[in-house]
Parts: sequence; structure tokens; C-alpha cells
Amino acid sequence: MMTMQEPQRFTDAQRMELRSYVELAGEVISQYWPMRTFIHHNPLHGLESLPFDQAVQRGALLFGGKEYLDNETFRRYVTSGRIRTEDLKAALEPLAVDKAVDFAGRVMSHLDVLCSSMIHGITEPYPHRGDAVQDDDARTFSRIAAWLQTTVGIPDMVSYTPLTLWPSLELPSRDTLGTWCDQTVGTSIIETINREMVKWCSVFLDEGETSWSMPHRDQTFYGAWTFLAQHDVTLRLVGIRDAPKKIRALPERPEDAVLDSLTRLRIPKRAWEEYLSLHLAAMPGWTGYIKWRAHQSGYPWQQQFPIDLVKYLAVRLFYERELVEATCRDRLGIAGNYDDIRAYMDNYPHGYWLRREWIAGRLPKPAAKQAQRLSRSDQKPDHLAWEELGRQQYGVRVDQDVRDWLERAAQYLLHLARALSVDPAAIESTSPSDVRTLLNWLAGFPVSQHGPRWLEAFESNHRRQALNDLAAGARAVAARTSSGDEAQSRALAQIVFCIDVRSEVFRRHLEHRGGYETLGLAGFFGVPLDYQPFSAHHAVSHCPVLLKPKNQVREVPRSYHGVLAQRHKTAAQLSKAAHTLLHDLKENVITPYVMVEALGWFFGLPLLGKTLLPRWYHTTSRWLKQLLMPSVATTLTVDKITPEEAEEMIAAKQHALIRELGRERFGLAGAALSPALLEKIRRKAIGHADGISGEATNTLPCTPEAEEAFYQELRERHRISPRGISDRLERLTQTGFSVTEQAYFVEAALRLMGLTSNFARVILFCAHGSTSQNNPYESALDCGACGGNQGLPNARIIAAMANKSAVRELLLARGIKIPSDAHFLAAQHDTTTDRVRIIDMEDVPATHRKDLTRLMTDLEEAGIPTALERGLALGMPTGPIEKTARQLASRRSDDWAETRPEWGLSGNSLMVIGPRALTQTVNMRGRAFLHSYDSRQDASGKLLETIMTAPLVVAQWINMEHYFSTVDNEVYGSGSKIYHNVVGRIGVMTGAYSDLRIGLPAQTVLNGRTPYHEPMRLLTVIEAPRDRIGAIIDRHSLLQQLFHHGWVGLVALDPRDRMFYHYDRIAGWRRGGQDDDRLNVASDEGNQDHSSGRAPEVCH
Amino acid sequence: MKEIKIIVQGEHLKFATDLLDRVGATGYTIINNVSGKGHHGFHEGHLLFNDTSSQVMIFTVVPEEKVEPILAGLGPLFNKHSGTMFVTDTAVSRREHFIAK
Repeated sequence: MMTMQEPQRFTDAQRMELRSYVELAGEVISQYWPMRTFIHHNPLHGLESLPFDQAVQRGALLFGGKEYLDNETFRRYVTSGRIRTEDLKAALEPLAVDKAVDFAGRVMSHLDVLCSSMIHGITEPYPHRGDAVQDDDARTFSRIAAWLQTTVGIPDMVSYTPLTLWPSLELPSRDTLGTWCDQTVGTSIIETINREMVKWCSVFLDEGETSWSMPHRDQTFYGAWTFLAQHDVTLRLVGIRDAPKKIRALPERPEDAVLDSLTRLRIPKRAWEEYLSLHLAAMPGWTGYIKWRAHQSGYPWQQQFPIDLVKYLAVRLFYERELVEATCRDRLGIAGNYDDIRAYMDNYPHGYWLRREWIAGRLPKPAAKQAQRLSRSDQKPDHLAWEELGRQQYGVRVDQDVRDWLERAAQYLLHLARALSVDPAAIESTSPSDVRTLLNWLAGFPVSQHGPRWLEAFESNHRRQALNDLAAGARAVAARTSSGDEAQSRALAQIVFCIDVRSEVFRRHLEHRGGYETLGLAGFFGVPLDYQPFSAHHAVSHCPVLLKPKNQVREVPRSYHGVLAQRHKTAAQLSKAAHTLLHDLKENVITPYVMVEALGWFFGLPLLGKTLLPRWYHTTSRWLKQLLMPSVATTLTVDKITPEEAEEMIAAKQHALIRELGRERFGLAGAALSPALLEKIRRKAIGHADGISGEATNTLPCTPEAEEAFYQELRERHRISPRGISDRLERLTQTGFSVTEQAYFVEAALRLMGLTSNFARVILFCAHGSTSQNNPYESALDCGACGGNQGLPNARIIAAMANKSAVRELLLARGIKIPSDAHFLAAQHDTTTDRVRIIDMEDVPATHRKDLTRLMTDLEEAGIPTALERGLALGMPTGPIEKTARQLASRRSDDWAETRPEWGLSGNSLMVIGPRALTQTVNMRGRAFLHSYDSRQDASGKLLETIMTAPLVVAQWINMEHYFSTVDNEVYGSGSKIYHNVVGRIGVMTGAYSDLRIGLPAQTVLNGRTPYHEPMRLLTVIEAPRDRIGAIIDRHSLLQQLFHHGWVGLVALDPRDRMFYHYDRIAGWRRGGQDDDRLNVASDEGNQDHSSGRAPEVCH
Repeated sequence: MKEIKIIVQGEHLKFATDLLDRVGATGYTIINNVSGKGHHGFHEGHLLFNDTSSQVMIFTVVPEEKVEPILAGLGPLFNKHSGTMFVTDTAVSRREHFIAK
């Protein structure tokens, strides 16, 4: 019987220090935002301080995720031409030594060997190891193996097989004790712990999805768990004895519990951070969400039911320490702590080795049987017997390893010979020293090291083509302007799109219609705001998650729809009541039995409709909704209300309320309720002395008690009190923007884009959003710059602000003249159906009627080839006609069985910061983020700094999210949508329970099994003087991290000499690439064919 | 009474204020977008679209016995990230205002 240790007393200082360690340990986990506002985030965000190659390796250790696409896929890219051998050789160059060998009559340099090794997969594990090999292969095989043994001999390093991969001192940094037990005695401790933690987390973190919620959640996660786990039978079932007693003895504070567990497990303090990281990394989804929640201030669920990583670890470590203790005592006869485990590892190294090999299934059958027998003994484990057997088996293994090496070496040579189309018989003609060198070279470049080279070659090819296309495009435009074709005429309209890659397709087709200028700006248009829609109760932030908005905006009905708005409100309330009733009926224990019979047929209608006739169903339901709850024309509260105005508003509302109640309660009507009386009653309720004095009993026809009760009701229920008024006042004055603020935001947006002169008559801010059915990932398709929401409110706000004459006056004083006939509009682009809807058309002056009509027609027309192009990518059936493309796109957005309504941001690989002229004639195939920027207007570099520290960062997050979800969809992505179950309204799990899934689903980035998205790092092309860019990078460690550690590539197009420069951390700015003169945008000589307007270049 | 000035990166603001709350500081003041120079170079202040990348300064006044837990809590953080902390003696007019009940 184990003695129970008394929980120690810890000081505040120790507790706070622990919290600090947990905070640092949690840094490797990237935050997970709830799915209502899906944020694309780099799953290895916490590892960005490491160079990319190291970070993905650490990610592999922590999370088990693959670092790169598998080599087979890369080899297919070579066959299809997406990777060139020259690029591969360039990537291998730094590894190659200047030596050559003569292999079977063929001279090969080190570089050739490495290259072949990758392209032909020479060192890949042979698929048919030992058994089903063809006959003559087998003969050649053994012949070569024998020849190797005699001629070449066995290199010394082969006869050494390490007993352990790493010394026992490193255990807490490499594996948790639970994992150690699993791998040494074959338990499933980690699986058990994970299962229990999923159970507790999913019920605690639920946000209203379950009908039977966890009790005692307000006592925090740790408190609720200690309360409930005492009664949880599972603990006994998994092997924790006396669980209730132990839990009751746990300290009250979670920090103490963690410290207690760490002390019992005897984890050395130097390893705490890494040990805790390992625990947190076991379930990055749930821990990522907990991390996000703990970081929120003002999140109601978190305020009511607090949870954070310390509480999580307190629970998790309890399970581990108990299970490890039980396992170690029972199976190994040692105490379950690190010191004793380390002693065991050091004292019985062969026994330990044997156990691990046996659990991993790597022992030959007879040895496995012996191990089985040893482990089954009822007495104390016989360490000496294990040690003896281990020593013997180890010797066997060493011999086996030598034979394996010979086999493998023979395989490599054979494989290489075949790849070079050399007769295998000639292999033996190679000199022994050359063979030895060759094998060393191959062994020194194992398969695990191929990934980074593949990626580099993959990126090189794509980037070179992209730069060539950009150069050609820029030359074409330069030629046009220099030849005086383009007079500085006024565009028909200027349309500002989000930098999203899907906008690029639409922009191309819109510009193709002629006369339009398009620009790119981050989708929130520079205006961070908290937006409260008309029928909602809470405001949502519409800005990148890097920011916190300081202004609130509400959507209010337009004055001429006042009555309609009232009806809408009533209808909404009824609808909500009906939904709540339905939900309660469904979740009740008894009522479903009755309800199914009574209402089942009614629910069959939507089921059949949505499945068989989605478009008809949705059109009908929209029509029905419009009939019952017609949409109300709304406008946004742009301006700030002055305090006096606000007070007036509140007073008016309260007067109306008092009048209602007066009429209801006391039957007073008409003249009896004069405004003066109402005001007096109001002031009395507030508590002002100049209220009704002696006239009290005369004014209201009731007893003094009833009157007093009436005032009380006014104060409490209707909040006609000083506190209530000041609350309302505060809320009212918080909404909107002051005129100075408005001018500030509009100026910032215009300057960022470089649009400060030559305004068109119509300037349209086009936000974007998407429509799909039954899609938990819907907000992943919305605007990332708006925090995973649709960007329409931001577009409306900035258009309204820019139209104000007061704002334009301020802008004029700041040097931006907006002509009086320029009008700003707002619209939203539905990226699933490629339709653009212009909003607030009532505000358009009559003078712009024709412009508006023309614009609307052109937007409609441009949508069709866009839908066509995107439809082709989605694999539309037989040669679509343009009209069909539109219909099919609509169907995708209406169909609730559609797992891929659109490809979204898949394919992104490039970000271009510069004027549209740079990319105008290039077809970027929806793969580029385009942000407008004019370096001539930005001498101080402040604007470029803004773009580089925000939109670029968001683009990098999106790029990395797609990279990792493609490379390892099971670990970094969320797997197939088919198995997803929405949990707690915050995310999805796969199956009944699992880790909360992070990343993108398979259907978004993969096409069946093959990747659709090409996983490569983002290349940023900036048109600006390179010293300006360099200065900005030097000022920000964030940018240094991204560019110096290889997370993002950078190329500058210096406007002074029109040359491309690659940014290299050490070498600084490197001119051009391989095709040096082709990247010279300025020179026109020798490029005569580019100077006439050519068809758009395709950017691969 | 001791006055503590803490300068941390924007992303650690929540941790620092949380720490002060738990230790029992009755209040603190936050100054955003602080720029300055440290061992890691010059740190820029205000960025238009990014609140997490700049430094913040927090200062608070606490009784002497609270200084040790605060130091212990920030110690590991400063081992890994840029930031600093100063403790100075200070006098206040209402002692009881700064002592948590």
C-alpha cells in the first residue's frame, strides 16, 4: 500500500514562478479561435523564433506532424515539370564536396549522387524487403552483398548499434513519464489521459450546445473537476486506486497541485518548461482553445467559468502521476518518479532496451516469446533475467544490423545502377574505395534530409516564373506609358478590393471590361470596429486579430422604415421564442416521443427540399422570409453623438415610456399627460429634488403607496435612475467616430493605397464574404482581415465617412483633394457565387445614376468569367457555358451536402505590394495577395511599415496554415469533413471524441489524396527602394524573425533602377536570379516582342 | 511601499496584469506603444494595425512583501523574452488604498 504524502505548502513566489513556466511552456501551442470566427493561423506560430527547418523538426517532435510533403509527391512534381533538376542541384550545391567517384564505369560527382538519391529515391526503404523480390533480382542482390562483404568490408560505425537513442538525463525534455511507460511496458497511459482530458474539457468548455451542462463550472475548471471526479468511477477503472481519497487530499489551488505533481514525479526544475510543453502538445486543439480563452478579457463564458493552462495541467498531471506510479510499481517494481526511472535505465540498460524492442515489435519471434514469459511472472519483475536476455538479444541484433547494412548497401547500388541505366554486372568493377565513398555519401544524406531541398527547389521554380512574369508584365506597361498611349485620363470608377487571393481573379476580369482601375487594401479598409448588426445583441470585432477596436458601430433601421423595423423586431422575438421552444422540446426527456409523430412530417419538407432541390428550396425560403420578416433598410451609426444629444435622446425615450405606463396603469390620457408633467415624473424618478413636491398626490390618481411603487418600478425595471442613465449615456457616446477620427481613418486608407489624387467619379469599396450551407468552416471562407467575418460593415463605414463634406474639408487641409463629384460606395463580393452587391444605394446622388447603372452591369458581367475560371478549378462537368458556370456556383453555395463550396485561399503563394501597374497584365490565377502601395508617396516608409507589420503578417498566417494543413492533414489539419462533429459551438472533433481539430479540412487543401494547394512559403514582392525596406526590417524583430528565419521570402523591385533584388539574411540584397537580364524591367533592348501589348502572361 | 515598473512585449501584457491581479495588487496603470532600446536593439512604438508587436509599460504600487512573488513570476519570462522590471521605494498618501483586503 502506497503511503500518501502530505501535499506540501508552497509560497506565493513559487506559485507565481510556476505560472511563468506554464506561460512559457504554452508558447509552443498556437492559439485556437472559436470557429464562429475562424482565424487562419500558423500552427507553429510559437516556434517562429526558430529557423523554418528547425521549427518544423521541433514540430515533428512535439506534435508528430510531418515537416514536408512526402518525397514521392515531390518526385511526381519532377515528372510533371513543376520541379526542375537544375533547381534541385542548386539547392544541393551547399552540401556537395568537390569530389567524384567512378561507379560502374560512370563518373559521378558528389552533387550527381545526391541529386540521383533524391530524384530516384535510392535510399528510400525498399518496398519488398526480403520477401517478394524477383528471382534474378534476388540473385544479383546476394551476389553484390557478398562482393561487398569481401571487397569493401564493414565500416566501423555499422557495428555499433546504440542501446538508447539519447542519455537518460534527457528524458524529461524528450518524453513525458507517461510516454516512457507506454513505450517500455506497453501500457496506454497517454491515450487514457487524453481521453479523460477530452471528456472534461469538452463538457467544461461547452458554450450552450449541450442540454445537460456540467455543474459547478463556476468553481473554475480545477474546482469543478475536484468536485466531480471524486464520484467518477472511470478513475478506478483505469487503475487509480483510492481515487476519491486522493482527490480530496489535493490542494485547493491549481498551482499547488501542479507543483505537487512535479515534485512527486521528481522532474528537475531545469526541465519543467519542456516537460510541461510536452504535456500541452499532446492535444494542441484543446490547449490552443484554452490558451485563447485565458487571453480574453470580457469574454462572458470565461468570466463565468474560468479556465487556463495551469488548471488544465493540474488535472492532467494528477492523472499522469497516479497512472505512472501504479504502472511502475506493478510492472517494474520501482517508484513512479524520474529519479527511480533513471536509475532503472542506467542500472539495467540491456533489460530496458529489450523491453522497448519487445513492445515495439522489433524482436524476433523466439525472443518475443521469452520476453512474454518473463513479463507474465506473478512475482516481482526479475530485472536480472531481463538484463541477461537483453544482453544476449543485443548481440543478436548487432549481427543482424550488419547483415541488414549489407543488404541495404546492395539495394542502393542496384537501384543507382538501374537509375543510371547501367548494367548491374558492372557494379563489381567499381573500386572498393569508390564504393566506400559512394555509400558514405548516400548514408550521409538520408531520406529525412531530402525535404528542405525539395521545398527549396519547388519554390525556386515557381518564384522564378512568377518574377519573370511580373518583369514581362511591368515592361509591357512601361512600354505603353512611355509610348504615350495612356493619357492621364479619369477612370470610369475605382474599385478597392481586399488583398484576398480570390479578388485577383475578379479584378482581372473587371479591368478587362475597360476603363476601370482596381486597388487592393486589407479587407477591413483600415477601420477597426466593433459591429452590432440590427437584430443582434452583441457586437463582434471586425478587424485583424492583431488589433482591438476602440469604436463601436451599430446597424440601425433607416428612419423611413421605422414601423417596419418594429414589426421586424416583434417577428424576430417570436421567431426566437419559437426556436427556444423547439430546442427545449427536443432536449427534454419525454417530449421527443410525442413530437416526432406530431411534427416529423413538417421537418421532412426542408430535408427533402435541401437535399433534392436545393436551389428551389432556398429561393422559396428566402421569399417566405421576405414575406414574413421583410428586410429592413439600415444604415450605420457613423457619427458620434454629442453628450447633449445623447441626453436628449434618452430623455425622449423615457418620456415615451412614462406616457405608455401612465396610460396603461392610471388611465391617464391626452392633455393630462403634458410634457411638463412627464418631465417632472422623470426627474422625480431620477431623484432630483425639483420634482413634484406638494402636487404629488394630485397628479397621479392613486394612493401614495401605489405612487411610490410606481416610482420604484420606474427606477428598477425601466432604469430611469442616475445609474441607468449614465450607463445608457456611456453606451450611446461610445458608438461612432468623431469627425477627426473619421478623417484620420480615411486618410490612412487612401495613403496606404497611394490613392491621393485623380479620383474617379465613383469609388467603390468592395468587401467580401461567402455563402455556404451546413459548413462549420464557413467563416474560414470569409475575410481574414475582418477577423473571420464578412467585410461589408467596414466598407459601408469608410464609404460613409469619405462622403462627408466635413471629412473632405479636413482631408483637403492635409493635402488630399477629393473632387466634389467623386462619390464613395460600398459593396460585398460573394466569393462563392461571384456576385457583387452594392449597398446603401439610397445615398447615391442623382447625378451618379448613370455611373451606378454602368458599374452594376459591368460587375454583373465580370462575375461570369470569374465564376467560369473558378468553376474550372473546381472541376466542373463537361465544358461549361458561361451561364452554367454561374448556376453551378450558386448550386455549390446552396447545397448542404457540398463539402467544397469553393477552393477558398488554396493555392496562395505570392504577395505583391506595389502599384497595380506591376501586376496588371499578369494572370496570377488567384494565387496572389495584392496590396496597392505607391512608394513615391511614402518617403518616410511609415506606410510600408504599416503594410509589412499587419497585412503581410496575416498573409503569412494564411500561407502557413495552408502549408501545414496540406503537408500533414491529420496532425496540423482537421482531417475529412465527413467525420466532423461540432462540439460546444466552438469547434469540431473527429468522431465521438478526439482532440479539438485545428487547421483546414482535407477538402479545402487536398483533391482526394493529392495536394491541391502547393505547399510553399510566401514570396513577398515589394516595389520600393531596398534600403527603405531594409530599414523597416531592422526596426522590427517581428519582421526579422519572418525574413531571417526563412518563413517568408522577400524580393524588392527597386524603382530607382527597375531591378529585382532578393533579400538574403547574410548577404543582404542580391541582384536578380539566374535569368539576370530577363529580370531587368527597365531595359527594352532585345525584348522587342514584349513592348507591344501582348496577351496576359500566365503566372505559374 | 514599493513601486514596480514593468516593460514587456505587447503579447505578454495579459500575463503580466494577470500576475499582478493574482499577487494582490489593487491596481495598475498601463501605457501602450512604448518605444525604446534594449539588448535586442531598438524597439519601435506605435504601429497602426498591430497592437501585439509593440512594448507596453505597466506600473503599480504594492506593499513590500508582494515584490518577491512578482519578481518570481516575471523571472522566467525575462530569461526568454525582452523586457525589464524596476523596483523603487515610494511613498503614498493613502496606504490602505494599495493594500488588498
